[in-house]
Amino acid sequence: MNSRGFLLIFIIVAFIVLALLPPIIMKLFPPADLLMRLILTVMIFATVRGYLGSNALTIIISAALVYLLVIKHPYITASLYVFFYVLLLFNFLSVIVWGLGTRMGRH
Amino acid sequence: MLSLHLFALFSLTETVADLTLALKIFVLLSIISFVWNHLGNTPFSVVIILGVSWFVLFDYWKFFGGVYLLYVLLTMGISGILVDFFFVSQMGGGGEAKPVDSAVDLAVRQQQLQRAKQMHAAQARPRRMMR
Repeated sequence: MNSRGFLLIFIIVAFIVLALLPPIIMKLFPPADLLMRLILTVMIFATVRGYLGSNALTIIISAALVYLLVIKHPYITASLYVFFYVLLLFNFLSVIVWGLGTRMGRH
Repeated sequence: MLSLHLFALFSLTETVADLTLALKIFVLLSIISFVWNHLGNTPFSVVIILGVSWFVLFDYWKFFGGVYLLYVLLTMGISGILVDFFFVSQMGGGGEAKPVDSAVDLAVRQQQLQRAKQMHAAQARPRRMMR
């Protein structure tokens, strides 16, 4: 495999490690788990309220989403939230791609 | 120590079904919000919401689920990551040519160019003679 292939694999591995970090941290540090669940709950409620406004339907849909995403699958949701909502939205993934490309792409 | 049972024991099909349900709820929210913004909260908008929801969430979910996922990812800026990814992957095979940084560098490059031209001319000569 040439250096381009290795570079792509390095970038993909870095993305996978970034996606796996939140569940590992949540498992190792229970306060981080609680904090992440709180953040997810507030984020879900704020998103639903942004769509529907403040009414009873907002509470019902928020409760369903909180049960599905925060209580039933917290690790997957935390991983998706950090990867897409934090890193992707603030363009941090571009920094990682650029950093790996400049460090490893010139060999 | 990190116990793996939480990662290993969950049912994949159940997880996919749950995440699909969550995605359907978000699509429903988008439909409700869109119709309310355009028609207001009227009985007619409720009929429209029911019709569109049935069409999108049940009849053609495989199509609209993918489209909504793509829409969300593009909104979040996944295209920028793809551009970076393919742009950076071009750098692996030696990278771009280095800019000229000194007079010595320029002289070396001109010598190399001259040598390449001479070699090209020497290779082209026998071919011309054969004609």
